[in-house]
Amino acid sequence: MQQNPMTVITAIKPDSLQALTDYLKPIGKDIKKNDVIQFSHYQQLHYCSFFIIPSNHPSGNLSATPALLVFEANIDGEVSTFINDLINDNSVFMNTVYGYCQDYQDNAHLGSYLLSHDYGANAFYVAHPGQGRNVIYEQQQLRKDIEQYVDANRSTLLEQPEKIRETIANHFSSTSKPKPQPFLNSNGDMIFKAILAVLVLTLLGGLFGFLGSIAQIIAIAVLVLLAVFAIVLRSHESSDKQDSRPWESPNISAVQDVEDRQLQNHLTSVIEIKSGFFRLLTLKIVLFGINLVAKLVATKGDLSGIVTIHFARWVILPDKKRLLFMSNYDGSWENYLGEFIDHASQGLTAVWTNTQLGENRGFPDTKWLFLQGGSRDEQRFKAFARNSQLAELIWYSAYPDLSVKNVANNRSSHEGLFSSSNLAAWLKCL
Amino acid sequence: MTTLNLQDVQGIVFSGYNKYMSCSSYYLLQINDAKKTKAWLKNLLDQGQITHGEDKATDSTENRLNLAISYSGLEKLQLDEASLNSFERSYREGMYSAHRSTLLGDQNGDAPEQWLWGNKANSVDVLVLLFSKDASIHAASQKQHQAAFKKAGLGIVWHLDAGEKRQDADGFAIEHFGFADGISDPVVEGFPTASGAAAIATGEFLLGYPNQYDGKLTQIPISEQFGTNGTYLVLRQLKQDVAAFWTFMDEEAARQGITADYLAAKMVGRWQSGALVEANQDTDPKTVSNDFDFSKDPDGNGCPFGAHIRRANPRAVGLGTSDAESLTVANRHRLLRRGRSYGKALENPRNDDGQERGLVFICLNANIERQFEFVQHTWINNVKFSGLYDEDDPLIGRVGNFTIPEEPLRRRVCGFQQFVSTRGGGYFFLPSLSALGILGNS
Repeated sequence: MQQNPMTVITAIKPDSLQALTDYLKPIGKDIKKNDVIQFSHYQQLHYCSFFIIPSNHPSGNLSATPALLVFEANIDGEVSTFINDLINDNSVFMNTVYGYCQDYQDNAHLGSYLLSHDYGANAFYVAHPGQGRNVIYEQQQLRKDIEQYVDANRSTLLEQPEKIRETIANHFSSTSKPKPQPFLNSNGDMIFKAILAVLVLTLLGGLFGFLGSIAQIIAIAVLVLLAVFAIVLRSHESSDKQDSRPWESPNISAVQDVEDRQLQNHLTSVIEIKSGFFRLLTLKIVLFGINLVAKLVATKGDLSGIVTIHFARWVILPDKKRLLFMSNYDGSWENYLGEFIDHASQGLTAVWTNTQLGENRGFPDTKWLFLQGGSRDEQRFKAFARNSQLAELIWYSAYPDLSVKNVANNRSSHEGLFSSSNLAAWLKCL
Repeated sequence: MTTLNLQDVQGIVFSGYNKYMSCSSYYLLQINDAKKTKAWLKNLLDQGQITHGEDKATDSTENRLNLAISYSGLEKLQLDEASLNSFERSYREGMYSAHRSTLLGDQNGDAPEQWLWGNKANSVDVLVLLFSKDASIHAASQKQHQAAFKKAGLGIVWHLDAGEKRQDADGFAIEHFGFADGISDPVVEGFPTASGAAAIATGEFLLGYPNQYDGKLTQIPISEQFGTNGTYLVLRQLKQDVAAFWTFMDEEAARQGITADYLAAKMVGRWQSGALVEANQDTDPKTVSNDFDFSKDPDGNGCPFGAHIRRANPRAVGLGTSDAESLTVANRHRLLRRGRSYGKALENPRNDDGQERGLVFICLNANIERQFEFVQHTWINNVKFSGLYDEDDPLIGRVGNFTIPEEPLRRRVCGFQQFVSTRGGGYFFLPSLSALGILGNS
């Protein structure tokens, strides 16, 4: 089962902003027991959030545009199925929410309204592609049962590893076999390398004339384009101004209020794309690349060394002037931002270097798109990220007590019941 | 090579004065008359009473004194708003604030409302750290300073006296549970105490110097002149229930068919002597060393992942794709510890005497959020630390389970108790001597 991103972005009627906020906020405050909507009822839903992007965020440059409502969901299967389930099951909630939004007609048109306002994602990362919500639930229960069985029988289990596995597997013989992982999980890495190799070889082969004169012209044109790109990039980078008030945090207590209350967190960031065609184009190319890496390479709960992200996405807003980043992650904000710097500063810098908090309040100075500076300037970067953040009104996690590593470990525990290869590693999972 | 102006840095940055100062007291004070307090501050400086880094102790040294100020203290000393806002957020909010106490795990019985000091009701503005060579000198010094506090418009909110010093043959302090402590102090670039290769940049512990991130400077409050050579000081009064600790070890060890010493060592990560717990050890080898980075113990068969010292500093395992990367990351979250035990040692560690004892936990760091709070939240209190499920630090955590990796099957302690509780705490700024001068003359 494939995981998909839904990002429904709608304009809020100018006079309805407060009413909508007042409707959503109490639900978010009591996500488990509120009597309006129970998100746990939707078995395809991993995470979802509702938040408002004020027209003046992050700067006042766009004050003429209306405030936007974003409904983000990470789901198994098709977005349309999820939308239909929501409308069929809780039309009161759905119609109330979207009744506050522009261009809303009625319940009959709500499904197509939402679908036409779904912007998906320009880049989408899933920690464990193919792991449906129900599978994650079942494997957590299984891992718990095995753990308890081992706790209760440890002294009698202590024998040769093969024998231990046999005893445990026999005890859990009624368990069904785990479904194989998607093809790309194990082969995507190779495909990615093959694509890169073909590109490089074609370019080199073309350049030296092995592939004919037309290919040679194309290859030379590509190199010239790259050189031009680099020159334009550097000229932008040397004239861009980084935020000179990096230590000044505006009032972020609203964000802090909904943060670090449990094991997982949600991060919402909305930031301005630097003006001009060049930065938007660069951003699109970078996001395309990141999306490719996420689909092919980062398929095992590890996004370039960050092992705490369940789902993340980048979305260019419909006005093409702002960039939305959303992430569901384990641990604290401080840790998450630290991991960005420690492990993923290149990819992150390549994206955010095209953005600013406002006029002359750019991302920390960067050289060569991602090679130097940028998010490596720790405190300046953290302040930039902080100032771009918005507090969500509703945030739901289907498994708030599981870390990315737990989900992977649960799967390994399950798989080991049916395979005796890598026995020592399996015993450590228990 | 970083050269420090040692005369401008308070001495506690470089040393806990353990060698020459056997007594110490910690005064938590409230400013009632800012004008008088400023005069007192100026006087302390003029008389050279505030110990700085150049002022090295010898056998004849009688006293040491250092001083730190909380955010509310700076407010009372009438700093302007822009100056106040230039300090880092955690310091401004204070350890007792709702967000910080959630991060630190100070909930329920450990909640700030239950504290003896440092909460809203008993807020603290100034911390004075007094050290003396022996008990009689200390008594005289305490008397003299207490009188001076009174004249300076300073009320005593609370005070803590360090207990009788307990040391092992190597000179390491022994804390109340009976373990050698303070073995893994970081070696800092430019510090006079640094011997051998310095692993940590000066800017991690002193403002105004390059830090562990590409040599950047950590945010300097107010101005370079004011902030340079200052740092943040975190103080927590941590009560230790020694009898509960050892009684639990006895009972759980009996259940598991192991010894109490073995179980306690696995929980701490070191044997009582301070020796690292390694695989296939049943007893304390008593060979103390800090020369390890866990790379020889990637599965935790010696020192469990959940053990206290592995949580407090995971070193070369688990924070990156290589040992070197993990070490780099770990070294961005180091603390300089400068505390001591308080209260009398418990004679029979299985038999409670009703007296309170514990640790005056003091650490220094240039960025409270990235260092102290990070270690506390992301490592120590994190139930998911290192891929675990539902565990907490078995030594200083609250309640949780504890996995001891063993071949061929792990052992598990299901539900340990809480042995350490928070009784008070605060975030302070430890100014340079020149900054104290600016405050005294303001």
